[in-house]
Amino acid sequence: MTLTAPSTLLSAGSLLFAPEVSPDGTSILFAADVARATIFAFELPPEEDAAEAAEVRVDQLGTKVASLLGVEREDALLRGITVHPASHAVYLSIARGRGPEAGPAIVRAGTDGELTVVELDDLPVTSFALDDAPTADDERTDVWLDGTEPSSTPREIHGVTLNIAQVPLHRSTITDLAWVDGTLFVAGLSNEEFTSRLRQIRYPFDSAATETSVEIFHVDHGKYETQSPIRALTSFDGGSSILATYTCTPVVHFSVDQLRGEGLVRGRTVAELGPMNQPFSIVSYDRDGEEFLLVSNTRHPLLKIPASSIAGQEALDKPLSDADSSLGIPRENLDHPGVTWMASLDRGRVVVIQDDGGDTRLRTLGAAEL
Amino acid sequence: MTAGTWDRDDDAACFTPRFAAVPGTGYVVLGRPEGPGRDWRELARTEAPRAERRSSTVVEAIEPGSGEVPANLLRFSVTFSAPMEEGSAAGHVHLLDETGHESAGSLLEMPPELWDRNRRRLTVLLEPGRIKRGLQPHVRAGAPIRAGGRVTLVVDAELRDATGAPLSSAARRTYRVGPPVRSRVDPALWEVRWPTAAGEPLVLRFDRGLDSTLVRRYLRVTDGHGVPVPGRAALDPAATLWSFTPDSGRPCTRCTST
Repeated sequence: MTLTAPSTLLSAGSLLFAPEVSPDGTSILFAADVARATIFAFELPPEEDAAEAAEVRVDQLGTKVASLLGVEREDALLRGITVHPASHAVYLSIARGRGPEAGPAIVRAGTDGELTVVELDDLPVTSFALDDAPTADDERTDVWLDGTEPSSTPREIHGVTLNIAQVPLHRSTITDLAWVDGTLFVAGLSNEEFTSRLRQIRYPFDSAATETSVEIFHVDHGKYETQSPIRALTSFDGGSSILATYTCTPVVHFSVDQLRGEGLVRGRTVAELGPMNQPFSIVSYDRDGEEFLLVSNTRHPLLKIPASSIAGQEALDKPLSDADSSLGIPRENLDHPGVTWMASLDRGRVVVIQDDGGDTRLRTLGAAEL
Repeated sequence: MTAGTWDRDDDAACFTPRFAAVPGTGYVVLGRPEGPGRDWRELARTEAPRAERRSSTVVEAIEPGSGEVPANLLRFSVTFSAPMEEGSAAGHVHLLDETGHESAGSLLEMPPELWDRNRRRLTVLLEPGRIKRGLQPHVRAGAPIRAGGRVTLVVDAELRDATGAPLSSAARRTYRVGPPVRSRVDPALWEVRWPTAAGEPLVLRFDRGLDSTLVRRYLRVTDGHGVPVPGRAALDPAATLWSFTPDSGRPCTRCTST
């Protein structure tokens, strides 16, 4: 469903710029609103093209964003990040306050390091309301490990302390967005028995979405799963494939051709990155002519995966307890501690949020550093 | 720097923050003289007053609304007059036996707290392992509530609403516990009174008290073409009598439960 009424986001969620700027210079910013189970597409006015080398760099990001929004630092929580395709400005989705009552704000960090609040309500907007969102009284729950929920409780499991929050299913209706050839991919949970969903919505929005329930083999849990949502996804291999990652931490390949909105589609698990961990982001980039993928995590280091290894990896379908089980494709730990949210600036650079002595900072990492 | 706008006249400057000030948050006003190279200095320091947390939110309903519940009841629901703070319910909803003692392990532990989207209705589940016959918790500890007795659901005043204020008072509801009901819900056993004239309601009398939340969600009235008929539905507190009055006197021809 589309509408052109004033937007007023109710909650802060994933953000994504459409990669193409229109001929008149306007760009499209997609914002996920879990409270309304809706994707908004804001038309942003033209922004000046950045110089090729221009990058955003902000120290004490957490403090500055909180100050801008007039709250204490722990009450400004990052929920999404994306990079403007022309100006290279970084747009941040911030929950102002804690828990379900937190209000949304979009903050723009320019290449001059200046932070400003993006005023959404005056922008032209269309929207798409998902018709498969879990209802608020669905008694099933999802588990978050990122420690951002007030109901998070520290629990020690096998000597590791995790901040575990059980949240109602509808809070995970939309977990991440990706873009492939004019189509927005929306991951998250649905009201179906097989809750994990990957939806495809053409833009400009019409009334249609292709909604596919997806199933994966979880090596660490030793079983096929349909309940756990994709936490982060990206297209790769020239847009023909989706790489998705899940909590505790399978990495799964889906061919775009598989996703036709029919039946339960089984992805091909290509890596198990290890338990007691929730991925923040997954991005694709090129280094020396070769494509790689990066996965940032709550507990594991920043992990690098060569895209070339994925095609030949047979589906992992044996539990970890089996003697001949496999963790799949090779991965490399990168020495960039504390990297959480990430977004692609271009094929050779990745914008990251990095923990920095109790605060956070915004940096751009070039392929040579990755 | 905090987002907002400054309005100045000759001897005053007024700052309007872009977002409402959060009670208890400290702000510092900095200023510097005009001209290059001048340093900022602190002019004032202030704190947004903490809102007086007045208790005005109350429990509007504890359901089931009947005086008696079956011994295999699955859940209660508590409706509040205002949105509540998620995370504040754990430890503040209790089920008491006839002696006024809390029956340990009878309610499913929170979190997770099962709030509706507006965070006004909390679903409180009885421990499902103790309801379903044959499961170990049922075998070991028995059903959470037993036929022939009385139980009282108590909602403490300590539950907080979305502003952080506690409830203005605690609430409770006592039930007789009847025999378990294990037969399926069968619409064929419902008594149906069809409207005989425009403006009259369609009335269903159920063969037992149903779950009022599910009744509100799953009963629909459609016309002969399967199109939903607009109108107003009402349910009595015991959830045994449901009536539906079509808007503008449209007759309804078919009632569907989904």
